[in-house]
Amino acid sequence: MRKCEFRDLGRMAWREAFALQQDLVAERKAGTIPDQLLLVEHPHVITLGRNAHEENILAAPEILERAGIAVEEADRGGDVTYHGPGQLVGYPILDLKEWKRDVGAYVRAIEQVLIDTLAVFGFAGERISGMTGVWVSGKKAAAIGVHLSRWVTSHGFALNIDTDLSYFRYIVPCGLTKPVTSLRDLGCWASRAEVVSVLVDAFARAFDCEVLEAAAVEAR
Amino acid sequence: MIGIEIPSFGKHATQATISRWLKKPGDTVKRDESLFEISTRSIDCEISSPASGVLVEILIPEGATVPMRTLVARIREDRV
Repeated sequence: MRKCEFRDLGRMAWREAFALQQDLVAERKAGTIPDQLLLVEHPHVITLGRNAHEENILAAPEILERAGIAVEEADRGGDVTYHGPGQLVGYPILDLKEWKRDVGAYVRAIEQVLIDTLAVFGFAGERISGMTGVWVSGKKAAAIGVHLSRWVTSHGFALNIDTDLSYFRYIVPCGLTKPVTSLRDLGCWASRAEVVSVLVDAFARAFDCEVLEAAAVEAR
Repeated sequence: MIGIEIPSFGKHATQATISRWLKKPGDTVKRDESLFEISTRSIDCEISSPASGVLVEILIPEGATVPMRTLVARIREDRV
């Protein structure tokens, strides 16, 4: 069975995690490491995908600065998104040549991981045709935005556990004027550790791989 | 001559934007070398060449948004 190394980075700035992703992508392309799953929580940050429309950031730069929110450009698909405390962000760095050479199947599998995770906590996550992410009762619980280079994936997903949803008021998430939600907002008090454990199992099932914890990476 | 299409991503995207051409007409390309990048609502992806040869013609420019499966370039394959 294929092996996937998993590291929980804890809290790490978006830019620092992005640099780590780029290093791991290069190593994965070179074949010197197996597939990777990074889990992380970012301090407040708004990121712009390749298709981002700046008008989807609703607040002026000085307001964001005062609120302690960084703004970064990301080489992922999608529009504007917000990351912050209480959100479980996942960056799978997988070589799809060793799984399926199918980008659509990859995104479906990521959605399945999130749907299966939500199901364990009693929520019916669903896909909405023509939109990305995973939704519960018409509200977005998880966002997805991925990058692929020579079949190696980066970026990934963000699942709201107990995110302060008021921070989403600064943006139009993914260019959609749809409400967002979190496990806490849905009435679930699961801890981050519980969600991580469930999600790692769901990931192993969806990608038919063995997920092993990598040696601890120094996290801040 | 081989036609290069934007691949289908299943239900995830009906259209894609060509974000960047990494090769220009006349360039030699190797099989599996990246030719261009496309971007959809949730996916940003480099598309690689299915064969080694010469990029003869680019049919869809950078910045254009087109349906999936659109023919975007032609490659003249190396004779082996």
